[in-house]
Amino acid sequence: MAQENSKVSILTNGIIKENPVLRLVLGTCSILAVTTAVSNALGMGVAFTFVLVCSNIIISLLRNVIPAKVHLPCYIVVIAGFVTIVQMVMQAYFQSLYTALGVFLPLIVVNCIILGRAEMFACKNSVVDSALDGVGMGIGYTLTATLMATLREVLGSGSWLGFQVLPESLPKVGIMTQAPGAFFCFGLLMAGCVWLEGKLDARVERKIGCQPLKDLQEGEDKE
Amino acid sequence: MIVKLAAIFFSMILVNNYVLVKFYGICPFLGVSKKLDSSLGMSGAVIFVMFMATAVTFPLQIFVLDPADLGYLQTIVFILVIAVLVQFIEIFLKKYMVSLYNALGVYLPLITTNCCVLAVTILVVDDYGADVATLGFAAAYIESLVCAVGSGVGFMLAMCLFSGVRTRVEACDPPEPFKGLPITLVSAAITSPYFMGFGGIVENIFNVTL
Amino acid sequence: MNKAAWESTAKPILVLSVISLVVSLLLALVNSFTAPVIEANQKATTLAAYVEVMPTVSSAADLEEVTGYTTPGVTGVVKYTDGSMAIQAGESGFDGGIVTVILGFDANGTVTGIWVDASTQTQGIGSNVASADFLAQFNGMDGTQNIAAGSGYDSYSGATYSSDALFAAINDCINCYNELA
Repeated sequence: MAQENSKVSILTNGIIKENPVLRLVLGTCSILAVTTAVSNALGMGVAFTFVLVCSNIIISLLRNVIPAKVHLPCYIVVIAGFVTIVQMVMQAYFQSLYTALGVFLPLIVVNCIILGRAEMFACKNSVVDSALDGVGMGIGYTLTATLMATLREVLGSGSWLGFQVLPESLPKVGIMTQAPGAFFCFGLLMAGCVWLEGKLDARVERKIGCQPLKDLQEGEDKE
Repeated sequence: MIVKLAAIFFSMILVNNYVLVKFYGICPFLGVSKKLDSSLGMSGAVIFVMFMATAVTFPLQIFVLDPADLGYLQTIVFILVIAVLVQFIEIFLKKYMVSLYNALGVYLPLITTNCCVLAVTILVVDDYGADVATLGFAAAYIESLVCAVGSGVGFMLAMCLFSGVRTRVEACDPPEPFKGLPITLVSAAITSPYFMGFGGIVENIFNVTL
Repeated sequence: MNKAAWESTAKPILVLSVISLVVSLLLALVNSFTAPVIEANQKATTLAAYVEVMPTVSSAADLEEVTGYTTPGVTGVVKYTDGSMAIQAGESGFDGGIVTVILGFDANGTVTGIWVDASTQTQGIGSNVASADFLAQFNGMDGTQNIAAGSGYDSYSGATYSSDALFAAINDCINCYNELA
């Protein structure tokens, strides 16, 4: 029974406790860029989850084979391989989504969530756990992206997933679909998350960015 | 030619600003922009690596990947080139240019996973790869290098501007849930519209448009 | 080779090479499945655009491909049995991105339709040259005479580079029509 519980907790960990976007603050670039419409956010979420789960599985399988000296290049090659597969499949079967996501699709390679999970989780845990972790993190990412895209698309274009939800007569806040709206929505969402944490008495300290960046920041704070 | 290069350079800095308009390199933007000198160090390293990476990947794409019909290996080859290049630059600077290493060294390992470097190498191939056929390789190569440096300088501009904004924000007392990162993001939201208005400036100075 | 050298140098290089090789082979495999689909999609898009600019044609299957033209910039020509023709041409605009134009001509050389792909140009500025309102000025013009911005036809204001590319591509189509007609 305890075994079961730990599997479930690995899965839910990524969705709430360690939500990669709102609590770990990783992968912010793509979150800001692809949330102009709900359909883009969902597409990005699926692509991202696929790459994360696959690379977690492979890296966990190879965790005893890869020498420590070249672990980073090895992870990058594996991740880049899956990203390219997603690129090719999407270009073949989902042309419009491929055009909409543009360069942010190949940029999944340098998304710190995936490299971070490989580094922190997959290289130390069993294949099943790593896959579950990838699914959980992927769902967490997708949910957050969809939430933010909902906010931006409803306010900015008056629609949700392409369907008109606000009456035509209501003026649209066009800036929400542009760069400033992205930063603003992300700030609001995060403030909402912090507020909720305050209510539930579960504050976490937010460190920005990727693993090496954290070390640098800590160094800076100590100065 | 000079006019076009200048137009490319300034439009990369002001109109297509990588950080505030295109969202490449948000992690270092939020993470390292706390102080002016660390902003400068980080962006100096980014400009350097962007230039070097583009200088290597552009000919690689034109002369190796395209003729061999291996375009689908682009992502994997470019990221490996960047990773190796960053390592190499680090070793080289440590050995031969100690003062530069002291200034930029700590930021170099962060750059491999900085999306603006991979983004610029992919985007210049998309944008200027076609010019090889019409203008010749040399012209297209110069355009792409100017574009890479322009993007890097745009990154620097955003970092430095924002480190100033942050110093003021840190001194303020926002509502409790907004403290820290959220208010930083909201102030980035207020900083970024300025870059939307620059389109007209580049247009009028160079008498060309985008 | 002693064991220490194997562990510290040869093994990392070997493992990295093997992983890279396996991944590349996998990609080549996936590419062999997706590449034909991607190509077919692109061809279908072009054919649909040809039909769009030729009002007398109802299905892409009726089109006959024309070869043997020499006009530079032209990337494809099709004709229909009633003498109408559609020509595709591309010219590079700002940032080196290609502006692609497909121009439809009827048997008398009158322009029956224009289709433009400017998605490579700056979003919201250069991409505007593909807007229907702007392109309406070219419908019904004489497809045997070269055109120039400012003399009867307007550039899109604020998008000089992209407009220049558009006019150059239109003139490519016109030159090619004159060559073949």
